[in-house]
Amino acid sequence: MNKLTRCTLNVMKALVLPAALYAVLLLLVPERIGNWNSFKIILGMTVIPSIAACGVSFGWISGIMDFSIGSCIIFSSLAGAVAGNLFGAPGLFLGSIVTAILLSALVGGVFRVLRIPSLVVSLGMLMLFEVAGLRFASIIAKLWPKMSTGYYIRLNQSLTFLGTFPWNLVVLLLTLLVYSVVYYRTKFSNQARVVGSDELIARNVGINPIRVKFHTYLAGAFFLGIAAAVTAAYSGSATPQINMTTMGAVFRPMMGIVIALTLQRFVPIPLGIVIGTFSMNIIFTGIIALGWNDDFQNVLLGLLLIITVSVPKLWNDFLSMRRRACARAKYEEETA
Amino acid sequence: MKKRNVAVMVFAGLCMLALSGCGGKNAASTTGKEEGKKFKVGVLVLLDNSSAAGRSMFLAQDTIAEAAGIELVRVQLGGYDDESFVTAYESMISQGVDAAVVFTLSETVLPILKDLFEEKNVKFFLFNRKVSSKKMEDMLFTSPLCIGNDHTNEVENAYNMVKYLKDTYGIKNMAAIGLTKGDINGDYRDSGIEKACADFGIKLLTTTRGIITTEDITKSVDGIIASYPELDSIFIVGGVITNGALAGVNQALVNHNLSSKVVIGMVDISTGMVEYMDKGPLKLVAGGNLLCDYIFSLVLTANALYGTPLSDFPILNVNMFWITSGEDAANYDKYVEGTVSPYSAEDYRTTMFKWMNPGVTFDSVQKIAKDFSIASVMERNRDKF
Repeated sequence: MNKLTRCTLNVMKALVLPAALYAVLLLLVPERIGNWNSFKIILGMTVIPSIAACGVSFGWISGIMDFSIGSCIIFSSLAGAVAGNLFGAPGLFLGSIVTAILLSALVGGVFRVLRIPSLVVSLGMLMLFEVAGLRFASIIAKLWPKMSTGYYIRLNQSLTFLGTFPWNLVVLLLTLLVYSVVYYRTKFSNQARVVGSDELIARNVGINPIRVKFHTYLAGAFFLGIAAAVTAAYSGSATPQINMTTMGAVFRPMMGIVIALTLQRFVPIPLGIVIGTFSMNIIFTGIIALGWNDDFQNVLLGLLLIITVSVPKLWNDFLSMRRRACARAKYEEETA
Repeated sequence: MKKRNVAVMVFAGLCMLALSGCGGKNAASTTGKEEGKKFKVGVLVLLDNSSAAGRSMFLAQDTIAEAAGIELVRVQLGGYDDESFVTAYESMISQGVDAAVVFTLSETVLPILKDLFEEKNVKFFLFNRKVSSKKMEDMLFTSPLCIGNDHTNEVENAYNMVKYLKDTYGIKNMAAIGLTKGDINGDYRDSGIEKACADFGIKLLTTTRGIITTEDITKSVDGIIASYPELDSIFIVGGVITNGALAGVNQALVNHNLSSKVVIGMVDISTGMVEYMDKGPLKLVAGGNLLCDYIFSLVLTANALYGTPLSDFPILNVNMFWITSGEDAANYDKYVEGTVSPYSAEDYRTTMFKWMNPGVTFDSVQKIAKDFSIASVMERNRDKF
């Protein structure tokens, strides 16, 4: 089997999950889902969580739990929307990315200096960022009343095309390209994987885990900034949230990463992320199309996460158990 | 040694003075009027004064306080969970309020609050929410400290809104974007929508709840558009999500070029209504009842505190403002949420405070509440702008 055939086969294997989900929906509600418009919308809904998943991935592989990501995206989209209104598309992206990097540097800095668990740091910073976002929106409302209502910041309509099809896909493709280079071709990314696998070994080979983890915050922030810019463009506005409601925003990207890591034997991580988030969106849209209670969405997403992670693991366990049994049988046969 | 004894005695004396001061405070609060002190009323701040809506509420409350000679103790709500509500009311009580106007999102916390107010001997008035169960109503309304209740008939209002959209725009296929489950008003609105859809042959395609961010809203509407191409109307059930909701829904419709095909009806006032009504898909907004609730709950509470309750247990119905055009929205922004209080201090003294005008009755105040509309505020305050 040549390399191209093997690659194609692997991609097809990875696509089994979304294809199966889509097929089920086509069987149940063909008139609702079986058209290009639906497919296009589902694909469009994949963009933001996929880009956010790129941002989450570096922390995830190095063993960091960062729940402040949602608040970071929201604050960055607020800042990005303001910069976008003032300086156009470059302002939107630069404003979002710079803000996200600053916020993540703050989270990473606190983590690096205080050496307390990343989970605790992220929860504390999440609360700070949420309130800061709310204050930011009200300050902007005083400075530029037409831009902010005090509750949300509007983005100029001329920039919202960046959140719509096909421009959002262009942004996604470019982001994935950059992400692939950073993920596969940088020393820091390899070190992050080593730190995530075993911190002690990493230390023994001369890697400074804390420094590497700090760098994962910064690298991830670049992608979170892009996610923030696209979020503002997609919704045409950015709304601050409080009471830890932004925490939920991390779960979908996180699940995208988990699915991508599970599928990495077939496809590269960036493609796995897109497949994972696309699959989740099929479920999300399917629940609406079927007219089911939307509470069910979380149930199905939770189940999907467990199944996706556990099935390959169980299959591997089964294979190694069978190998051991064969080896034992062979050994007994020989000794007999 | 002598110095130490003197110091101990002085300290003990100061402690006794402080303790006697604490004891006196309670007595003063119950007979505050006689001692020339103002009654203190706790007000929960749901919207701070950084927004027009918040400012209009502050202005109305201050005008009532000035007219009635009461002192307001404002406490900002820290969150929308039950614990945050309890914390806010505990904070009011600790600041020595004589009464509090009480609002919660869910009913589960009401028994706890009732116990809290009874324990501290503080009167309370339930506003904005109709208690859903008879059992809960009996438990709360039999408390000697419960002054009364005001609310909007949410079921009827939502029903009439759907009817209006059907009659005016001929809607047939509607999706509802709702509040988190457990919000009493959200549940009432949902039932009004369902009843109207059943009565007028409108297909309720789907209901999405628990939305948090504008991105969630845009995504939800995207999902609805992907699944239901026949969609011709969206009902935003409102509440704490509304400000982001309108922008999110509008953007999703713009993204799919559906602004002219799909109409939006919405409960609760949102910023940007003028723009969305003139150029966008927003056709009907009903809201502003929070302002009415604040006004009439304070009026009824003040009457009760001054010993002139308007009835044994007043339950007042308040309106929602209906906004059906950009002009309405602009008038609402200018007159209702503007820089002049909807009612002047003199209006309150002459028409709503029984201890100042014995001719005031529950029915007369109910009539004022019923007539409270954009047009009535414009008529009263036109020369002040």
